[in-house]
Amino acid sequence: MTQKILLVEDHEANRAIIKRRLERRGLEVVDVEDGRRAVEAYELHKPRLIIMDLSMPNMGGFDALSRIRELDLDGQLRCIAVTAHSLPSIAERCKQAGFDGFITKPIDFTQLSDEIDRHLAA
Amino acid sequence: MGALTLVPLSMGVDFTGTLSGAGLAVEVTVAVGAILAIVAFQAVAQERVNAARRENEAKSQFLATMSHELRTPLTSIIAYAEELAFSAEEGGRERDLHDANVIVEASQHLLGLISELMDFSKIQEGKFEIEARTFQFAKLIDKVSAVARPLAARNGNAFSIECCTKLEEIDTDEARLRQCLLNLISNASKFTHDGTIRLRISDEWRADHRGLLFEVSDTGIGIEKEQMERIFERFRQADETVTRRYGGTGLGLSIVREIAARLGGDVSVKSEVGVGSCFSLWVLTDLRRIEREVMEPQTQLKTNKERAAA
Repeated sequence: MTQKILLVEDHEANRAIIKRRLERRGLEVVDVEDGRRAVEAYELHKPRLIIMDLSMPNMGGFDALSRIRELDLDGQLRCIAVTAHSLPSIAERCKQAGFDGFITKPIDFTQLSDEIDRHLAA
Repeated sequence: MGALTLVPLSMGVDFTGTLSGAGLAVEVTVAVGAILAIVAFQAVAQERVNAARRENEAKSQFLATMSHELRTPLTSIIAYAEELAFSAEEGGRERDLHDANVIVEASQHLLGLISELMDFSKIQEGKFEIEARTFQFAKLIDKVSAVARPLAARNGNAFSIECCTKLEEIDTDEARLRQCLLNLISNASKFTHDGTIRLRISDEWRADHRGLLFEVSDTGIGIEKEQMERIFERFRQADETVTRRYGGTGLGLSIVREIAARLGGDVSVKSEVGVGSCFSLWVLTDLRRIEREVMEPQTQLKTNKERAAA
């Protein structure tokens, strides 16, 4: 099973640093800058795991996830939301929207690593 | 329309026999004018209430957006500074490692301030949510200890935990309780140099309810008697020089007090200038059950009343 991860984040500097950290852990990372490209990249690469920002231009994380879920026929995909929103209700909203995990920015990379391990092992 | 006829009639009783046609017309005009003025006033008042509500919602939306906007660049600052620290450590460049860590720490501090402002704004709007669940008490203490030790060490303080409870599981809002404890420990560390910070945890029952008492004591500068109550008030620190010398929003302790109340408990302080301070935080160990018990008799009472009324 490939350990390919799709990273979706519109903020360029943040995308670059998350990618670098994940690659240092030996993960293969495909990165795109919005939800629309995430749907295309999902079809092309079929990753096991997606790490996705919520507020993005063109298509946000919620819309992107619901389209990607339609394409995930065997139900193997796991998706972690990453957001700078801090309202307590946002975690609940993510859960209802079908995200498997939730991480707030600024990212605690130990926490992100644990989440990734948990979902890739599942 | 009833009011229009009532007003001149009652006036007519007061001015017996003196009401000419013209006088009545004047009084009706005055009465109509007064009613219109009241109606207009009510409309203005309602509009003001609506405007205030809209403004409040706009303000709350603005704060949420600002918090998001502030956290996004902070994500870059912290992540890249950590990256610099990482490569400095690999290359054995001590000074660069130190400098990069200063950036990380300052950014974490800034993040803490932003969170405090957000909490404060949520409290103001009644949107401060408490999410209780049952969890292993030891895990909470491990997490607190991991953050508290380096925090205390910054000013050369020793940190110790004395756990006198055998409690295994607790039902409360873990994140909020941890936030309170870290806030108290962070305060203690800020006002103490080369001293000792202690966290003591013990069982304490209050009015048939089981609870835990967390005492955070320090050997720091202490608090003047007249400042003791004020420090729990919003925007307040012991005095202005504290803000200049020690920084902070002045919101931390007011947030701790709010959380303590929401966790079914309270927070208080004892202190002696030059000797040290001791903050005591008491919370319920079974928040959801107690809340249910408190809520249920009221519902029961209401149904009884309704039954009586029927």
